[in-house]
Amino acid sequence: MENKLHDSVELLFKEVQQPTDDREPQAEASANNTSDEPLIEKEIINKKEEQATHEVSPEMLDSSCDLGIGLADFFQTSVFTWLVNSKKNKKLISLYGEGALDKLEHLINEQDAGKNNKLQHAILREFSPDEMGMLRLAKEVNKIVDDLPFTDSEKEAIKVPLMALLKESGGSLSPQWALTFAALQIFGSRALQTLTL
Amino acid sequence: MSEKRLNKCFLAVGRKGTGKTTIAQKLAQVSGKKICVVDTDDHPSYDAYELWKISDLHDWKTGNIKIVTSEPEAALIAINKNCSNAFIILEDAAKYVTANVQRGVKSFIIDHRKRNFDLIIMFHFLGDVPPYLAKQYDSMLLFKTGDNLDNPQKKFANWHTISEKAKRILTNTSFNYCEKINVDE
Repeated sequence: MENKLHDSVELLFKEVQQPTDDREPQAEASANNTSDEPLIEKEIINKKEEQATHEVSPEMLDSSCDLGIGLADFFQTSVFTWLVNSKKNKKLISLYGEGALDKLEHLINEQDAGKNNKLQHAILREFSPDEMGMLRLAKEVNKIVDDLPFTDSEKEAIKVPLMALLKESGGSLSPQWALTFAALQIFGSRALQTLTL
Repeated sequence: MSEKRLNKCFLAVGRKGTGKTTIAQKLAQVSGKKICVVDTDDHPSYDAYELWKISDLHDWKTGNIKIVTSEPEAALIAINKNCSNAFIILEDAAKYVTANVQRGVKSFIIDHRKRNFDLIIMFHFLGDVPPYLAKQYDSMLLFKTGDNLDNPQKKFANWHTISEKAKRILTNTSFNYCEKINVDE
């Protein structure tokens, strides 16, 4: 800072040396405050009180986390179910030809009928290697789909950092967001079922 | 007797270590007014200033003080209400003088002349200066900044002048070099 100041800065220093008009503090200047500062002060106090009354209880935090995780679980399950099924269909067609999907449906019905009639063993013996392959693939896909939703331990693993995050950001989901999340879960499942028909 | 001037709102914009605080303090000292620094951290450059609480501001008559607070809005409202005739330094203002600034902060800046306050508001980047302030300041002390000067910041009506000067400042060999730019320049 020992450098010589630019002329424009030197001029500024000179300008600032000029006096200004003295004023009184607002508190002394007017007993009946007409300015809006006190209003602002009041607003800040109100805001703080409001924040205090909206202090997040552990239960609220917990339910906010559950809602968030539920929504995430719903979306990931829906998206992966659709992806896995669409991959299964493509694979069936590429391996067993155009009529593979109908044939698999027929085979599954047949298998179910066998199960119902306690004749599964007998009927399975009659399936050709191709048919067995199709059924195996369908079974594998069903298992993947069944395993898609978060397990309790996975939910817990997400919940701990999520709760910490919500706590740090000073709150839970607002009632509006909670409603939006819940509605999304309900309407979303219907919408996805319709869209992926 | 010298002619009276209007109160000023200055911006000091520059990277860390470029000398904003030093110039701000010198400017405040030559004004002959008592000085109040509002900061969110206890900046070592203001060690000589007495640390005051917001609640005691109504007793501040003389001397240079600093308010270190996590609630700068409350500090500015208290200064506006209880004090007058001072030079106020708003340190690290990007933390609380933002685009969606709190009403108390904005009122303080807009009304500073009513209390005979001169202000100097410190930012690290031109990009940190909120749009309403880019139109309200009187003069800017521009140091070396890290802004991309080829990307016009339309909030400044005099961007062309600012960018030209900023480029010149960047090429100056002294790290602490700065120039003044008026809002209407």
